[in-house]
Amino acid sequence: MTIRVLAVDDSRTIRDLLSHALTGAGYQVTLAEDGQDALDRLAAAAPDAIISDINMPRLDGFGLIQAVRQIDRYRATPILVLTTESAPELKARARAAGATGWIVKPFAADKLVRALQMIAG
Amino acid sequence: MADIRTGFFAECEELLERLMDALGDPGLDDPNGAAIHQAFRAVHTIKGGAASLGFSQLADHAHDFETRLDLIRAGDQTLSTDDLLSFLRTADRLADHVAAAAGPPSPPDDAPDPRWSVVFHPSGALYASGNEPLHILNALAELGDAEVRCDLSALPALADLDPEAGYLRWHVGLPGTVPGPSIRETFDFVEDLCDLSIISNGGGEPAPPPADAPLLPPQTGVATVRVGLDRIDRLMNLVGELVIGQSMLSSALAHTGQTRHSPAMIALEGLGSLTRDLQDAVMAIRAQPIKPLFQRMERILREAAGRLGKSARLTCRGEATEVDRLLIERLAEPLTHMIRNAVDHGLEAPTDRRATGKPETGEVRLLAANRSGRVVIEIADDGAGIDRTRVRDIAVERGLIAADHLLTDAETDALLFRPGFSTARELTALSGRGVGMDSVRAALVALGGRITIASAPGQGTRFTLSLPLTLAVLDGLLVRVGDQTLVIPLAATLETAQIDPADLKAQADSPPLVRLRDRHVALCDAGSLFGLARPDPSGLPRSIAVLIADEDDRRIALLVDDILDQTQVVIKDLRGNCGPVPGIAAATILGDGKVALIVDPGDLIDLATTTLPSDRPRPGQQAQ
Repeated sequence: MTIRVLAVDDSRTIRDLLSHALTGAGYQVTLAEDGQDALDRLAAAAPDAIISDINMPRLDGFGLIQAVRQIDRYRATPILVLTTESAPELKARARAAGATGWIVKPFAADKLVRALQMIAG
Repeated sequence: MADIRTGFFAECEELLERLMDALGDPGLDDPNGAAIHQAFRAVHTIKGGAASLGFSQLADHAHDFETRLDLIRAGDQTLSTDDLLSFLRTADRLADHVAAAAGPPSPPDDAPDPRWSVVFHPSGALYASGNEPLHILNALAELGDAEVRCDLSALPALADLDPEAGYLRWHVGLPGTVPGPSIRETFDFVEDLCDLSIISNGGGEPAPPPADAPLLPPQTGVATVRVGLDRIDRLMNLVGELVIGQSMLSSALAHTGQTRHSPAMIALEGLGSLTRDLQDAVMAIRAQPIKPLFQRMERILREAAGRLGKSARLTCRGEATEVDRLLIERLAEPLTHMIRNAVDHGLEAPTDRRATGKPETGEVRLLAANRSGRVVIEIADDGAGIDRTRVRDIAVERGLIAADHLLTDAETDALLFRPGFSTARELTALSGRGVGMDSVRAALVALGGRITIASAPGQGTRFTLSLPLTLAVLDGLLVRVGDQTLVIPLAATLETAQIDPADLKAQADSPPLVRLRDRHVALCDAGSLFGLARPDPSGLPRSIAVLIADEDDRRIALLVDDILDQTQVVIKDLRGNCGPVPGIAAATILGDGKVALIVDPGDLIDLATTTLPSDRPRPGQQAQ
């Protein structure tokens, strides 16, 4: 069974990188440009896991996580946040918002895949 | 990998020193004091390193020790004297473990491969965060051959089951080759959402030191570099050669008729002064403060006092005195013996001390100082002093002196150093251990040292050791025999004397005897012993004698042609080139570039006495 991942970032480069790394590792990837775009695509993508940037226009990562966790089906869906620094308070905030794990940008493809494996298999 | 191991053991050496330092600290029992933290951190660091390198026994031992120290550190337990003694013994055993682990590559008892044991107990919050233990376990299994067992024992009956709680606990075994950080990384997202322990089966905790261990202030002092002793020895040797080269150049220039104020001579003088500075600087590299040795003695003292039921404390002075590292190592045993002796034989039992109006706690003082180019170490106690009547009785009983022989106090005290005299064995098992003061003296003489004793009844006993600053340089007496120069170690030289043929007592078939320092000693001709010249012994063309004694206080008087100088010489090993030479310990190069042989007193006395009856003092001789 292919694992479906919804990857959200407002930077096109990062989206390309995410797409490349995840597809290469055998995941089925849906890309979204920001939090709002992700919510719009949620039903069609039916993701098993979500990877999301935090700082985005319209709806940021925290907002996206909170919205997703409201939906019963996604209450325990693994969500990985992409952060630019590894500050402990940022992790704590992501955790409070409902994130499952985090990865610090810039990331290497294998690290991303390993992090995703740890939360989504 | 070998480099990492070597580095680890070098670090262990330092850590053990710090540990001993801390255990010797009177403030060890203060949970907030620096000492207990220092001890804890030293043991903790050893444990971490040992676990990472797979020395499971060492890690295991360090772990147990750490746990006990932690109880004191946390203030959960107060430190009793028994605890302290047990800590000291544990520290010793830890040092043994380090030594065992450092020994020939991985001892067989470390052979069973160490394995990681991970216990992972997710909380309900872990599941709620979207994490899934299965994925984490899969990620662990990717690191290496994992054995996973799920512990269901906490699972309640179905009716009582909270579907969102965490009841399951996993035990995961992983090969010891898996790096600890990789394992920990797997739990990165969940470490705040579970109970987790990652240990090697030796008990090692690979995780960084607990956050609650306050950082000690950084060690004051200069940065250091570790260098092999062989490199320093080579440097030392080269500087020795430089000194010789410089003095050869100096005498060559003098022969060209240069005046003292000529530019060449002035420049040479400058070079000479630099060379001496360089020599001192190189010697200083090998030098280390004597403090760690004294600290070890603190421990020996406490142990000895603990076992004997005496109360004693050690006061140290001059701990900053610097001594050759090798000398420090070799001093450990004699000093240990003397400290034990001081507690065992020197200090009285507390009740006896009280009866004589002394404080119950006896004092042993250690002092180190530099005096006239030598290191002086004093070991003094405020005990009862030497019981001279008893010493005398024992000496008579052992046949060391005649029953009617009269001795001064100093001579009586000196009996303690005679081979075969040991009061220790009868009295206690502690300081006995089969060695007496004679072996202490022998060890010191072997280091080029001397030992003297002073004692006052009721006030105590003081031993004074005098040692050379370094083992690479020797204080020697330069003597001429034929056309050769010999160096006699000054430590073995008792006296030089002009011999009057009238004082000689001829013996049949053996060299004549001469009375020197109240003893009759054989008069041996250095020329014939070394085959340098063969004068007629009865004609006595040589009349200057050097009285030498070896470690066992055997003596001979050595006839030489002339006494040239008393100087420090750099010892050059001879055995590598010539093998052992009878009577000769080593060689040196003199200022004029000539090679001189350094006499081995003990060996020379063997050589001289193989054809002689023993020159050991006999009661009959001494009575004269």
